[in-house]
Amino acid sequence: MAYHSSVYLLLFLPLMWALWALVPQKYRAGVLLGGSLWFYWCGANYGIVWLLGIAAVVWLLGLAMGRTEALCAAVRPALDPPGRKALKKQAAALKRCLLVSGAAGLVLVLVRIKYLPFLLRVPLQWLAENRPWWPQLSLSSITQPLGISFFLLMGISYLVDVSRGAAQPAQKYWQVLSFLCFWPHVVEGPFDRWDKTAPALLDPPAPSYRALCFGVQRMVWGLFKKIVIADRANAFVKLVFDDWTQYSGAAIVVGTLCYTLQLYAEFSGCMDLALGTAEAFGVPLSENFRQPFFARSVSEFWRRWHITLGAWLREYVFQPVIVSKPMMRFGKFCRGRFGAAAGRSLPVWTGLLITWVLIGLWHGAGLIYLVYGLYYFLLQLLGEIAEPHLPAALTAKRETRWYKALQMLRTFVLVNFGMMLFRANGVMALLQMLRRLFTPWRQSLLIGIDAKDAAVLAAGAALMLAVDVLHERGHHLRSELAARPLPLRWAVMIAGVVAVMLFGAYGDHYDPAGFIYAQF
Amino acid sequence: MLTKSWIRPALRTAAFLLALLVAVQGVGHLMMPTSNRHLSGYTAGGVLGEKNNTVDVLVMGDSNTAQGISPMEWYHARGVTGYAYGEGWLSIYNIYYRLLQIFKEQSPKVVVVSADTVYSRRGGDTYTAAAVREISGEVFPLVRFHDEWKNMHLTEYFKENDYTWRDVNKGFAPITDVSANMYNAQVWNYMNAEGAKAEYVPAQMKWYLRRIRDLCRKHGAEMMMIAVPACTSWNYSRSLGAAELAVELGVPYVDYNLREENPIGIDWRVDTPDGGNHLNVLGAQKLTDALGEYLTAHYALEDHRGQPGYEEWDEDSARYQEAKQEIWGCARQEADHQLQVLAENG
Repeated sequence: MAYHSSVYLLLFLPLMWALWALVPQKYRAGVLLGGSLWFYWCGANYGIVWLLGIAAVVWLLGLAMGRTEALCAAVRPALDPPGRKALKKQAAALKRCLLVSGAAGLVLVLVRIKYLPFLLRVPLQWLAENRPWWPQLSLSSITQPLGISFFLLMGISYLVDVSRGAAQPAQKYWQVLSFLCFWPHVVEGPFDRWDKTAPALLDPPAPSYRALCFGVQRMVWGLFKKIVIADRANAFVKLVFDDWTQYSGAAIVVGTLCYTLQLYAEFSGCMDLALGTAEAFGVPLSENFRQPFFARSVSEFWRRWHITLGAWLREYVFQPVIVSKPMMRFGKFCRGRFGAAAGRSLPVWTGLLITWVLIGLWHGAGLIYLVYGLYYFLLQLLGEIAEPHLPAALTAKRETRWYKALQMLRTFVLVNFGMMLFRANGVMALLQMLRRLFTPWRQSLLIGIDAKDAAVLAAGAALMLAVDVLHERGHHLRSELAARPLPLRWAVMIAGVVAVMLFGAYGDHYDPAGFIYAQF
Repeated sequence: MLTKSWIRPALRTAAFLLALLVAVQGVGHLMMPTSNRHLSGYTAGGVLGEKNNTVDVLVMGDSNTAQGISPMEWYHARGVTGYAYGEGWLSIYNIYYRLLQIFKEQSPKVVVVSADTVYSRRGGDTYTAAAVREISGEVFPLVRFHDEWKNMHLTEYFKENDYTWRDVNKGFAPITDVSANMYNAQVWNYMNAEGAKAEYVPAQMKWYLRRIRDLCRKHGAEMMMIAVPACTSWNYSRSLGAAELAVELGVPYVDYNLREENPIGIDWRVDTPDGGNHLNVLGAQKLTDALGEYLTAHYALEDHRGQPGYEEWDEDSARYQEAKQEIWGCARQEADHQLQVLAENG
């Protein structure tokens, strides 16, 4: 049940909202949990067993950590200072043990389901071909449960937060389950934090007309981006990337731009649908996009694009890695060997390398995703190395408008190349596509779409850009609209819905396209 | 106070939804094709161009119906007027709403529903998702015709609809290609009864079938169900499921995939254009003859040939017969070639 499907928009959502609004306050959290389980069942069927099992493990580990802390607090007053110190140490060790075993177990589940077939494919093939005596082994593939990358990582963040004392552990199983499987964030994120989302999920606020209006407005905008822009661009992108040998360099360049547009419209549209839904139910979710194409560097781009993934990796991978004991020792070693600057930089770069490799591999098991992660690592590394060597004349102009525009353009080009890498059907395909850029550019660009589709695509992209410009300038469009007279508000909303229905790329003439990020 | 606090937003929401509905339906009507030629897939929309109350047999189904049944054969041989309303992926939900529209202009004596529409579901759709999608497409013309703006000139939006276009073939889409599925001849043995159980039909589908039956009864039409021969998309489980449904509905059911119901014998080497998914004109001839025989044997269907009020049918029949020779000849040539290739390859 995709967020843009008619069954979700016309049946599931109105039913859930009506039920949620009509039941007494004490049952509202139960309605949200029931809706989430229903939604998950529709998308994953028996894959729900994974969700229920993982939620149980996360809940039990969190509870154990909480009990350890409570026990410590109860016993501590009766102990002398050395005893207190020893108890604190023991409790910390036990919590660390629970956390490490839990997080490692969850990561292993993810690796087994998502990555092991990829990791073992080459060695098993080699053994079969070169060592005839080696027994034939085949790894049974497990169907990837819907959204497993999302709820597993949210489960890990919950455990880390509880172990750090940053969050109170849930006392009831359904509370953790409710957090992990909340339907607006279970398919494509955002990665939410327990302390931010759980309060509203477990004790939902009263239904609000304003929240409903704001939520629906955001959903309509998300639908516009997904159905009108992303799904229309899909026809062009699919043909160019799946059959690149037929197309000229111009088609490949435009195809790459269209893919960037498609992915941005689709992913941010999906987030609008998810956040809009949650808003209508009074649950705040984390923002995942902040006008990424206004970024002046690739690292800034990643702080504006899929914000919660970057934040998750920064907080739960990068920071723990660079302050870890082995990394400290590594830093000391580098300082001794290569000097103070290297002693400072090399551990950070190693942390960055690990983070970028994980970002790449999070998107999928494949060499191309590894290359994708490494591409951004190299860009960031080069940026940091080059920064101190830039001429002073240039750095002095850093805040001028033209310099900012130039930086944005540079970032845009680099990101588009990354998108090409991401979408290409393998590394070889990417190299061949790059070679085709130097073939004659004389070819019609109406590939898979007609002139009218292209016009709608261009108009939709222009509208999206205009909205992003306004957001970047600090406008909050929905609040500003809410301050306008009712006829204008209604006219805007009705025009939005009609535009989605009229210009949407759905029905017999278009290939239905699922959400790209749902497969990660 | 509590009452006051929710009444205002509720009323406001209701008013907004009403305004939205008016806008959506208004734009939807603007988007509707101005000619019935483009109203549906194939030439199904042509049924609205027929003179009122002249169609006695209406066959409703998907592409198998459009390519498998040629009602003009009935008129030529027996004087029975019929129309094959076939559209790709037509579902039971679509059929109900289309019938509502057709009954305004026609009063068929028999409505034949193709049973494969019960199992017609686009890949990935759940039963409920398919139902919501299809029903919303029928209730909101904007959903069904939203892409029409690409084909319409500005002046057409304000032109009155002209639904007088008539199809000489009466909904039949003749296909002359011949292509057997030689790589998987196993599919020819698709009606294997061993271990077959009736395939599941969801409750919402059954409900709509009952609505179709009741609608037919209300308009004095009798409903029956058939299964069009299709060796790649039909099987014995589906046949059992459709038979159970027919018993529940209290309507006759004939499966032309079963040997005993198919005395003419569909030859899957030459009667299909696509390896057994649909019928070509040679297969359609066999199915049409068999169904025509059944209809005249079981229902009181009048011979309208030469009757006043049916002049257009006589004209169309003559034109159809004229074109038929060439079309059928072309298919026979292809069939002979196919048989020759098969013989050469052993």
